[in-house]
Amino acid sequence: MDKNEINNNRRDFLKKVGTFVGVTISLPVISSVFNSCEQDENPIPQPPKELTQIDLNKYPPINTVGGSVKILLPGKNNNNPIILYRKSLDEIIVLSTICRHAGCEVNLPQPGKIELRCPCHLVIFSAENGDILINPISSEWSGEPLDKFNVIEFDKANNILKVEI
Amino acid sequence: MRVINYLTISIIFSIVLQLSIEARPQYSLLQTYGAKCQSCHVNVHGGGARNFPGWLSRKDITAINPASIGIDGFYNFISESNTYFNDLLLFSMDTRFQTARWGRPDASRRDYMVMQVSPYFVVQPFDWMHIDLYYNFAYHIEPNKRYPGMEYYNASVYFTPFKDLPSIRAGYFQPPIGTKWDDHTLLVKRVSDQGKSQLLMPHDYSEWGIQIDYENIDWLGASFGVFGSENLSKNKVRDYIGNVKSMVNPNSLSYVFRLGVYPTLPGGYTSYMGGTLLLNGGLGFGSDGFYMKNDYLYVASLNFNIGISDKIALLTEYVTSEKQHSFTTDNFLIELNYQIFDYLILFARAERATTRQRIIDKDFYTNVNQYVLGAHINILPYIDLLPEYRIYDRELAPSYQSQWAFQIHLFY
Ligand code: FES
Repeated sequence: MDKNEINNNRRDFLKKVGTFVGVTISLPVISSVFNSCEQDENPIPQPPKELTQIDLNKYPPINTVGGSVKILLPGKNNNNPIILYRKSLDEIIVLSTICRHAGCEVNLPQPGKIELRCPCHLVIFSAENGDILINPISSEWSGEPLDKFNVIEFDKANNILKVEI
Repeated sequence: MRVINYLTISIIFSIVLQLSIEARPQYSLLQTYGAKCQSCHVNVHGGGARNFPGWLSRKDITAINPASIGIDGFYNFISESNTYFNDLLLFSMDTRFQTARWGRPDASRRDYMVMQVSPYFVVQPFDWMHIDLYYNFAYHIEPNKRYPGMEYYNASVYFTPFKDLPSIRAGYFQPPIGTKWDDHTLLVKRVSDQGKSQLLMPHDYSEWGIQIDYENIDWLGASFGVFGSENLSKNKVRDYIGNVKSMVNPNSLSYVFRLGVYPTLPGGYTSYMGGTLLLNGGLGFGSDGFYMKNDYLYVASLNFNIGISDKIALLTEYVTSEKQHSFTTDNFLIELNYQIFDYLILFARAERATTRQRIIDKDFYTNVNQYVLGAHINILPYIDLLPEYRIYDRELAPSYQSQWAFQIHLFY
């Protein structure tokens, strides 16, 4: 092997090592430049919550303990339905139907059950408080409960529910 | 509601125009083999298995010469042909890895995903018949990232008993609805709403069906098919009083039309245009003419595409749909591709999706815009890198979401 060849080989080797080191160093720089161009949108502003009266006489399933219904109130909850769940004779829980994973609409529980199942990736929420009961996709989503609305008053005599929505 | 006007307009446009390409529709304008999907794909609507000319057209496109990095042996080994046993078997493949931000636009997170690991096999035991098979193994690798109605396989048989007559395709396959883009984030086939927009039809959508295709004239392509609705019915919508229901009845039939023209233009210009129409639900006839019976769904699309080979491709698509008692959509897309080298194509795309949703007695409108800048880089033969910068903007929400996305696409 002559001297030129050795020099060429060495130059070639140094070039390759240099390129490798350069690429390795620049990767974090490039990725941080990319990340700085990223942002999330702000949530859609919701109209201020107001006291909304719901006449439960219109929804017979809610009149038995363990019963539930979905109802739609135009302009409320981003135009998505809410779930009313009769936890006990004296308590009604009001939840959003929207799964906070990717926005699918959760199903009502089977009669006598509390499991609200999201049909998209099968996360199961509790109708009693919106919390997650089973998260089969915990490796990619740490989970968020369903939004819960404040019940201000439950007028049992007239079967009227006052909720802040 | 009487929809005779919508239908008439859609059908007239469909007769004048065509569509339903798949995968990379811009390539059909940038190359010179003819704009028809069948120039490169086995499927008359594009996508899926590449035929021998389609495979040939991309196999040597590369930024880096494999010989310069000592891997030409490997490429020589795989680059003889994609057909085997005297053309009895054709093998083709698509594999896609993607990183992007997923989830709600106001709370998204970066994720890495194996989108597709799909071998395609086409078996042609006789001149007049071939069998097309597809399987996406990615559905088993990451089952949690799928939505109801998505399907991981396809199997169909094509019969062409007489060369000059239409061919018949039967089996479990995707109806030709709109352009079949390889990007699942496009707004054209979505029902944008105030949350994360939902799909008009599932990705990788397949149904049992039978379809007649006429592709015998160079400048014309036409299809008519009848399909079941099982997978489409897994897609849920909400009606105006809030009941969740299936997009369509699982026992109903969908009728799908496709018509397209591929004019031959002088001076290196290329073009195709067309439309598709899906109707689900019964047709009735009354004093006002034809109308669609209760609970119908229709999806009509039009496209117009023009380009200069090896330079520019301009693609446009308009998709309108209505699900009775639930929503109507009007979605539009325009994309400009500029080929710098055969291995480097830059593109810019703008999309707008409008949905009208009737809730009790009020109409609510949602507008969503998406802008994408990106490039296709064939870094080595059969390896396409796809960096993108995306802006997603719901007009009702302040600010916008922006992100980088990156895809590695291995194809054969
Ligand atoms: S959207 Fe509900 S679990 Fe994924």
